[in-house]
Amino acid sequence: MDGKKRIVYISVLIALASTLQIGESLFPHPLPWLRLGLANMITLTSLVIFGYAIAFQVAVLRTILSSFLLGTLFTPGFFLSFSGALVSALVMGGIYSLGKTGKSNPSPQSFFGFSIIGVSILGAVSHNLTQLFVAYFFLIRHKGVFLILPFLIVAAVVTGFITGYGANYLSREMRKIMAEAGKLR
Amino acid sequence: MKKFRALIFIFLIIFISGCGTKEYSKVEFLMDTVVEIKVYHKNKGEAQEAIDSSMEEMRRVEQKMSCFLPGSEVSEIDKGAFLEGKKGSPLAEGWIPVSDELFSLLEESVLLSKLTKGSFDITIFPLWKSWKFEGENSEVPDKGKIEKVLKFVNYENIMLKNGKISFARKGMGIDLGGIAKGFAVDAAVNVLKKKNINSAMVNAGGDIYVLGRKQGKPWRIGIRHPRKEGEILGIIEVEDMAIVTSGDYERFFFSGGKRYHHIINPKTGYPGDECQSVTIVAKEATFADGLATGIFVLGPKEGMALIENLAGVEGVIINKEGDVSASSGLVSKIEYVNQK
Amino acid sequence: MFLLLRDWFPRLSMLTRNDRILIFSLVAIASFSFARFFFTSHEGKEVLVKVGNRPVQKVSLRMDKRISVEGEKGSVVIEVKGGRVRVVESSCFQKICVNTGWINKPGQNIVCLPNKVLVTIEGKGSPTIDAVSY
Repeated sequence: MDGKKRIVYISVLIALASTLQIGESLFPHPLPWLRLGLANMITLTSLVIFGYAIAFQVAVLRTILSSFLLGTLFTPGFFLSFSGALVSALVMGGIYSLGKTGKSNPSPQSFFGFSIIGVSILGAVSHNLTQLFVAYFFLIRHKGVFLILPFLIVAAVVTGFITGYGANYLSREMRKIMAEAGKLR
Repeated sequence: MKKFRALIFIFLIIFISGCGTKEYSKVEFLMDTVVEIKVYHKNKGEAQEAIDSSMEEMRRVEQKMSCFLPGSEVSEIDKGAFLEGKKGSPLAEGWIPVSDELFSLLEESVLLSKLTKGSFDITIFPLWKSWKFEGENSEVPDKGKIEKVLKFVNYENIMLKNGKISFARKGMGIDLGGIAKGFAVDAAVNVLKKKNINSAMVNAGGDIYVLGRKQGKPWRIGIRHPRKEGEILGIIEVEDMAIVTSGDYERFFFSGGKRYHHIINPKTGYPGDECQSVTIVAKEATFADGLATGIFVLGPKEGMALIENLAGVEGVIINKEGDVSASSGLVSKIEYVNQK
Repeated sequence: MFLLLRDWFPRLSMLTRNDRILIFSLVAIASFSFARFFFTSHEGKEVLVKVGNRPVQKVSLRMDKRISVEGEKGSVVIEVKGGRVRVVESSCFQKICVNTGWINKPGQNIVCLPNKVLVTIEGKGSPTIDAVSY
């Protein structure tokens, strides 16, 4: 597919991811700045469709864009979501790219024995854990911060499941759309 | 990526197992004060065993060094006191053999006497006996009696040779009260070290030794405010050090409107009044204890000069007006606490 | 509502064996750490009173209370109020224990030496000071 179309699709993805992230931040949360990571759905989709490098960029850019729009660029919250997105993109990208086996139909089905849901759960877990550790080391140096660990893990499993499911669906639909658009001239 | 997952896994494991060391402690009434031994260690059994053994060691030291407990080595030596060399008293015979442990302590005490120009003096036994610090029954001895007793107080009359002790003058006796707690603390710490403990704090009524660090960070020890009950003056961070304080607020009574505390000046016979408190930080609690007691009597000027001259020793002196001065190695390290 | 649920089930079967192992272990870790936190709670500090070397009473700092303990020379009255504790009365002569005032942090002590009574606060918490030299 040619460059221009790529840029369009990627921009749409970034916009979608940012929307998800901003929308997520509107929900009340016990620990401020700790995001659930629903926008990882987009990162995963980009991973499936465009591959490692693009997915990584989508993740980084959507973080910056959302923070920019929210006016939280360079605040502690930004560093938290940035690091979370970065690490989970690395994790998911790694497991996906390095572990994929099976035919591309529409997406490979097995990554180190995990399904796409599994990849997404791992991404969500690493996202939350990274945020927790960054919060501890650079923000609140109080061991009590780890008290929410169980909740974070469970939340990660749940959102991982949801985003994996979402990413699966989304990538399927996007492939369809891209195929359609490819036919249009 | 695998490496990263491994990292997360490791973080989880480290976190779940805690820092690895847990706190174990025991508090007992010993040596007429409260003694606390606190240990940070991975193994519960080992930690508790080490604590029990070191507590036991402190009891043993008390038994041996107390001048009041019958059967102690020191009280045997002191039987000669007040007997003025009467026939049958051990000293009348000449030299008394002394255990190695006590002998080195006696030598260290004499050294401390020399350093403090006699302000620290273990021959204070007959003088100490004349004073009564017994709550309601406390009494100030009369002047004549003090003058009489002072004749028997002089460390220069101690003779130590070949593991034996004698006095150049009959009727003398020794009291290790000004150095015994420090000695007990060092003894306890040695036991802890032998039991493979490398993070601990031994606190005998405010005479403290901190071994190693507390979960990776140096121990934070506060210095008590000499006049404001329950408040602290400042905090110092230390590791592998003894912190011992001699203060005029620990034991005292009022008589005729005047306040008498328990650190007696061996030269005047009355409580030292140049300082409110002296805190010494040094490698050994024994030395720190004796030095703190001695400098309390010696006074702030000469005391601080002595501290500065001794390598590896730092201190804080609060003079009788309440002015605080710290030695050069400590002055920038004290976290002063805001006074209300 | 039901439509959504029916949608989920085929998705659940999409989970591979590794996925299930992953989810199971994560949930296990979460429950384990939750249980651990729950049982080593930081709240609920207690006052421990010892006479000689025997513990004689344990009182929670949460309830206002006045108790009297028999020391070696007489009684010592201890008061818990507003999350703090102090010695109100004592049969000792110097009343150093009474003058110590209120304490409320783990590790802090009030001592009455003549009565051999020790009032201390137990519980975790990182005190700003490990000990006081006096």
